[in-house]
Amino acid sequence: MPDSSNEMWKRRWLREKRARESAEAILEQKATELYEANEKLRMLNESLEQEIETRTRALRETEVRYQQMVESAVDVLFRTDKQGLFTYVNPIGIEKFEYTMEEIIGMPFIYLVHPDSQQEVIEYYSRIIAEQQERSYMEFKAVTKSGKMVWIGQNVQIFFNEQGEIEQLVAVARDRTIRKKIEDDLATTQLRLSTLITNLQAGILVENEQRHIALVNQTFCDIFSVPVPPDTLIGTDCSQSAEQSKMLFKNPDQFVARIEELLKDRAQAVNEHLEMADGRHLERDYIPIYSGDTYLWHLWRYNDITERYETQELIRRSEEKYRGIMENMELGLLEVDNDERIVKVYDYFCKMVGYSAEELIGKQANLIFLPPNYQELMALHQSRRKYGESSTYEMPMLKKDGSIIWVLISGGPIYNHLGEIIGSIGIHYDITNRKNLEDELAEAKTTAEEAQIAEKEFLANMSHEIRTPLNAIIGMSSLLYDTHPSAEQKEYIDILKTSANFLLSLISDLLDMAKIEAGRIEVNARPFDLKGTLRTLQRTFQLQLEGRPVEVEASVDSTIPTTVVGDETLLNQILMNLLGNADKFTKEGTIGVRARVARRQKSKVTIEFQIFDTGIGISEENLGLIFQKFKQVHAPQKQKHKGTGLGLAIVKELIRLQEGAISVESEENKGTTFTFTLDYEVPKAQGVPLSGKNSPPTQILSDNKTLAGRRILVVEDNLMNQKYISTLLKKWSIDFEIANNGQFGVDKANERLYEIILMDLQMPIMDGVEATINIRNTNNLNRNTPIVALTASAMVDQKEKALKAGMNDFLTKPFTPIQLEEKIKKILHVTT
Amino acid sequence: MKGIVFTEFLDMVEQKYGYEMVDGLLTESDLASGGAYTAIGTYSFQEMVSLLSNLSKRTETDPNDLLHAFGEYIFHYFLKNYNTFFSSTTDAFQFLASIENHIHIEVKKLYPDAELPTFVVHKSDAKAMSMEYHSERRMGYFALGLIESSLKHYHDPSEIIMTDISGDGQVVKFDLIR
Repeated sequence: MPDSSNEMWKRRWLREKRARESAEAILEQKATELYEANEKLRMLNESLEQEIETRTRALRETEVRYQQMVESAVDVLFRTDKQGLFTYVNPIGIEKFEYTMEEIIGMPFIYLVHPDSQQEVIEYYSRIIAEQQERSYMEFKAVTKSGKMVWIGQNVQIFFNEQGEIEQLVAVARDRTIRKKIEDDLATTQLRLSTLITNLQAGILVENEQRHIALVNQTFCDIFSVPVPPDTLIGTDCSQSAEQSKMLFKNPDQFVARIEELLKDRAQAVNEHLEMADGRHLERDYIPIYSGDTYLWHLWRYNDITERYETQELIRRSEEKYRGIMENMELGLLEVDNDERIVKVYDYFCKMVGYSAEELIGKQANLIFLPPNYQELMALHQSRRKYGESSTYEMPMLKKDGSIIWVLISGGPIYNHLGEIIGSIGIHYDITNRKNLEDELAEAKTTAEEAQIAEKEFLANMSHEIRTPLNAIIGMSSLLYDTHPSAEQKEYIDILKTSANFLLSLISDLLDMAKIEAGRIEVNARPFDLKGTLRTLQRTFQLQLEGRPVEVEASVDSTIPTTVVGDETLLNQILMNLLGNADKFTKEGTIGVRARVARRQKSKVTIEFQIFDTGIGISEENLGLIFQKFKQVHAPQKQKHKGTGLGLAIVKELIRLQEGAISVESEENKGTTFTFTLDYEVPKAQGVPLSGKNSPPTQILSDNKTLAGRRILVVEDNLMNQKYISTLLKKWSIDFEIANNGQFGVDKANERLYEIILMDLQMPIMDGVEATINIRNTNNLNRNTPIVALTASAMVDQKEKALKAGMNDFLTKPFTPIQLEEKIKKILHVTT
Repeated sequence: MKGIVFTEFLDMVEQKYGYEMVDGLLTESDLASGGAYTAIGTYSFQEMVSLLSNLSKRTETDPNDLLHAFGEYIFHYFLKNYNTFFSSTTDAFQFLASIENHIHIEVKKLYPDAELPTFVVHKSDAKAMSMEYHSERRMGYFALGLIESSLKHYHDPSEIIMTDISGDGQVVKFDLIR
């Protein structure tokens, strides 16, 4: 086996050699590879170092820069981990959210979100994360530590790992509060504006510089009958619209020309009036919009004012019409405000006062036109305007030339639409001519009235003056009968007395008329015997007419009450007058009086009296004249118709005073009948004592001695009257004394007690009224002695004055001896 | 297969059976490399299969027993030459667990073309450990030898239960119970 052993070792050696060689080859290859790899590595290392150095430097610079940026950023920068906890917040963020760095780091991001936004924020970022969006932007409300709300807009970058999980989150956030507010304000403004324009009752069209529609509303479309919704018109080119729509207008060319002019001038023009071809009326505004000096766009506003225009037209025409009427009516119109300042003045008014309208507007009307002494009256009238009252008054006004114009002013308040009084309007009518005429008339009237008063006074005075001597004549002639005159003397005395009586009746008539006209006659109602009065009258006339072929008749209705209440004196006067008249015109035949009850009421009876005659009668044409004053109907037998011509006028007045009526019937040469009615009261109890007038009047003075020894004081200044009265009193054996005036009367009254004092009223030194007051009010013997006034003036006021002074009765001059006797007897209660 | 496996295998055969056995194996086996193995070379696995198969025949020993013995043999080579892997721990389980994720990674760095089996550790605690061997080369008994040697090295008395999971030796499970 050595051989095989050798072979084996040889194989082993070969094997090991081959193994060694292959190992060396491998090693060589590996060494080469290693060398190359080493070389590469070395080179790589070298460049790598350089690169690292460069990059490190760049990185450092970038880092510094970013750090600066982050630190100095105006935006909030922050970073959170995957749980949303802050890992970094920059200084702005710290400041913005008012937390300290220590507080905010580790705090959940959601703490900064305002409750209003939390839900939204959570939903938004959940979606972003689910969709693996790396970048996102969101705006939301945040809240600071102190609770202040801040709008935040944040850009977020989310870093996801390979598994799609969040690693971290980096955000740049900006405070959007101001912008948000501006946006909100802008949106609100925009909404408000567009709502406003859309809902405006005016048609609005806004065009930009290229004349493209920027905005248009429904009203605009309605006005121009555009059949599409306004929104669809936005952007439409309007440059040809004027030309296209011109036929809608009444004056197409004028319309186009004006549009072009407006667009060229670019100056605002408002309230331009346009007439449409279909009769409508439009009002147009052109408003160019500038931003500073830059023209932006323009706005057209169209308003359909047809209704208003037509109304205005109507008002204008109506105003014109009325203005025309006013101007033609010669009425001056003036409007003033509450301070009297002139607001409006019409042409005719200017003409009236001589001012131009410009001179008057704004001026104080009262200062310009009113004479000083009329300011108060004007103020009074103006003050009534405050209560809405109108008034009409006459007033002088000063013209520009200083002359006066008289006007009739009708003034009334002016109201505004709220019903408040804003001034007044005065309508002035020139009454200068009428006023002048009135003044003249008033002057004439005053003159006439003064003349009439003077005449009346003269008449009254004269009557009085005449009566006093007449009284003496009548009195004395009565006394003459007692001097045993011869037949011839008696005849003279008769004539004297008849003439004096006639004269007295004339004077009485005059005085009566004067009294009636002065309203000084009063109806004195007292019970009296009506039948007795009528019988007395008949007998009086029978006596008067003795020896003449005239019968006097009296026919009295038996149903007439014996006693009635009325004025006996007035009835006597009427009947005497009428019978006297009948007598005057009846040469022969019958005159008479008839009385009957015309109507009887409960306590009243209406008596119809007829006075008739068979005389000459009155012609028909004269019948209407007979009751007029101073008219005498002319007839052939002139001398018979003497008188004042006042008789029937007085009768008529006396009847009227007693609320009665008189009429007349007459036939020429047949006779005349006067018929009148008077109402009398019938006293309940009959048999009231009546003043005795049953005996006929007598011409013969009684010389009975029933009054003998009675003490009477006569206070009278007139010597003739003293004589007349003292003759009578002596005849009746009365113990009397005479005082020449009031003062003596007072003196006498102090010396002795009298039973009656007869007191004249008009006396020198002291008159009767004063003397009476004296006697009644001083301590003397005659304080309670009856005083009878004697006066020629039978006026009511005189009588009142006397009674007021304390006198007890009244005796009108001239009085007959019988009247005096009866008065004395009445006072002294002496019966015949 | 790395040359070191061949050189160590032949060293073990020479040590146990003499060089005649080595020469015989190399001569009669059809080997592409001609049997001139160097530790740093790389050779076909098929050559190992031939050598193992002929050794089994010549020695009438089960090839798995041969692989088991080879595992125990090579452990000492590893222990001698790569001691740092062993000295970094004192615990057998810890060492075994580091094979796949530490030792094999280091091997790959040194020999990028090395074809290594996979060890998957399923469970490891103070009481027990479960690991799986995966390899097309079906050298589970080689692994067993290595594991037993390792336990021995760390004086770990754990019992080893070896289970052929795949049935063909490609996946073998080792349960170690202390």
